[in-house]
Amino acid sequence: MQESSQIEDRILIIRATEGDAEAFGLLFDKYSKRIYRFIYYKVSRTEIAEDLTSQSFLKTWEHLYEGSKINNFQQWIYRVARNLVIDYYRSREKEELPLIYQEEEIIDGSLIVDPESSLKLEELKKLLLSLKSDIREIVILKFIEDLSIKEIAKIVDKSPGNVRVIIHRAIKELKNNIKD
Amino acid sequence: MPERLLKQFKKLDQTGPSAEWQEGVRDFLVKRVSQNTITKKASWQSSLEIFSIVWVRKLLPSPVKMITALIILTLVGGTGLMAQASYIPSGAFYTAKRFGENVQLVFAITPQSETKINLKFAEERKKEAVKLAKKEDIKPEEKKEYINTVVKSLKQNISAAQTSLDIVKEREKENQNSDTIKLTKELTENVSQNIDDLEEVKAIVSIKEVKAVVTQVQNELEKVEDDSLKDLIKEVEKKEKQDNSEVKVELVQAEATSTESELLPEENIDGYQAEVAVEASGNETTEAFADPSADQVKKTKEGVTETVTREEVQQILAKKITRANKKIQEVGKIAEAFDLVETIKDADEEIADYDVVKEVSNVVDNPAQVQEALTQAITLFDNGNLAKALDKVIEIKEITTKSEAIISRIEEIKESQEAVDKNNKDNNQQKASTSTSEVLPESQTGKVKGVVEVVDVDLKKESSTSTSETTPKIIPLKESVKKKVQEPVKAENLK
Repeated sequence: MQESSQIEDRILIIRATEGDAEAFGLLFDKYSKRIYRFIYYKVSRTEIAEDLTSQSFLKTWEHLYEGSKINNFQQWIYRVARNLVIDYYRSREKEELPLIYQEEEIIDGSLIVDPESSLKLEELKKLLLSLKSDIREIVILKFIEDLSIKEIAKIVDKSPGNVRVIIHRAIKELKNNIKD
Repeated sequence: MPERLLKQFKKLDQTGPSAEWQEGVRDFLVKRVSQNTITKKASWQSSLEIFSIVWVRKLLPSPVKMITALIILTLVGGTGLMAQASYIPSGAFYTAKRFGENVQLVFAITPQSETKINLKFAEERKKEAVKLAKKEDIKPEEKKEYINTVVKSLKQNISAAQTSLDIVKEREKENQNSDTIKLTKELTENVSQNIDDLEEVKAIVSIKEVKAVVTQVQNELEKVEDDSLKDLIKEVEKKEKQDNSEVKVELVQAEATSTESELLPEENIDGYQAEVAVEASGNETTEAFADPSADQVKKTKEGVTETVTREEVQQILAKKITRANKKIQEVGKIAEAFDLVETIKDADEEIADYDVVKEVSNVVDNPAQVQEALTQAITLFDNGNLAKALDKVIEIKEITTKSEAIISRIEEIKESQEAVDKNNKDNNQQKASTSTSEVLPESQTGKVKGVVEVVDVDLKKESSTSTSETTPKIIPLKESVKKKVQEPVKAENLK
């Protein structure tokens, strides 16, 4: 399944670079929501998530247009998105941000939930945002996007063993939010 | 427990951007891709790439399918279907063929084998060029593009062969063995044949640009041919020198033996003769005894036969002389060009500033020089002085190349001048016809036309006499040169 999706992407890339613009549109349809989510749960701002998502696709197209090759589109676009988020935080460190941004990101860590009950989206979002950034991105990729350890390892540039350790840490952190 | 919590995170996949935003960005991206690739057409390479991706996907899970496909491919290749369609550079078979050639080059470990393979490929490129030139169901632009590609590849193959041969020479600098000489001979013969065969391409194709590219490649190949021929001549002369010195040593030894025998006392002579009688049991042994170095000389001579002989070198050189002889007619155009430039210069003072006027004045003596050099080359060739004969041929080549460059520039000027003249003439004729038809009766207009015709004829006569006086004729080649050329020189070229 994973392999056939990759082949499909490669064909779409070739078609796009040969002038079939709709092929790139199809790639956007396939990945835009996933990339948006990935960015959104990292920056937790809709406007910024939208901006960085469109930038990710634009950068990818520019890379293709320059004649460079992309063998694994999924891996590539996640990596571009990840780097854009890193750049975004770096640039934020340098400039003074409006107060509204800082306030919005304060997460209430005192959320205690019962894992047996069905949690609301808002609760889940709060729990996710309470996780540390490096742990959070792996939880997103593993439990929201259903990517394999191997795929995650390639995106976050870590070994599969490392990824497993981080998932274990996520479980440990989440224990603090569970009702005894 | 937290595992269950983690599983609930899946619900968050409902989060997404607004449909409006998604649509907007999609439109923007599609437009951007369209703008960037507006002039791009889907190439066969990308179709092939897509096809191969799908194909590999289908085949990979089954090794049986893969093997079957390979067998089918081999069979198809074997039946020659590939060979038939493999001379068109844009074809898939051609790409496969070139890929195969590159693989062969990768496996050529030694520079010797690399040289041989490159020569083989150069031969192949030449055949492709001839086939493409003969192919009729092809657009002129495509023909031009394909022949240019193939001919340039030929040049690359020859350059690669020369480079690998240089490596061989470098490695065996101390002792240039028969392998190096054999390869040099192979290279020279291959290049010489390719130069001649490319003439066929020029004769078939009427496209000016193709002719120019082929000529350029021929010139490059001639340089390679000159270098390797020089090496061969050196080798022949070296071997002949060796042989001569061995014969001299032998003669000196024989002389010394005879004087020694004259000085020997009688009984010693008897003893010596008896010794000779014992050893000389047959004619052959007697000869061997009388000429101790004969075997060695014979062996050396055989060695030369294996690598390169004077006859072989002469044959290649004779081809070069024939080629130079044909070029003489071209150089003759310099005289015409000179006449033309003089006429234009007189008519239009502005053209006097052109560099070309100066250049033509400098090279006006070229035809005479070339004729003289060719006569000298043939004389040197007849006298067996191959090295100097080759130098003369190279000299001729240099002069002809320079002359050809100027001639082509002059021809361009001539063409533009002719176009201007034609325009003027048409305009004048139009004016004249309107004015005469208005003013003169029919009989009188005929008279005017007659005068113009007489003037035209006179001018033509004048120009034909002036060119016949200055244009050099092709020198009829001597029998000695003709004999050495494998293919006899065509009669019309020698007249």
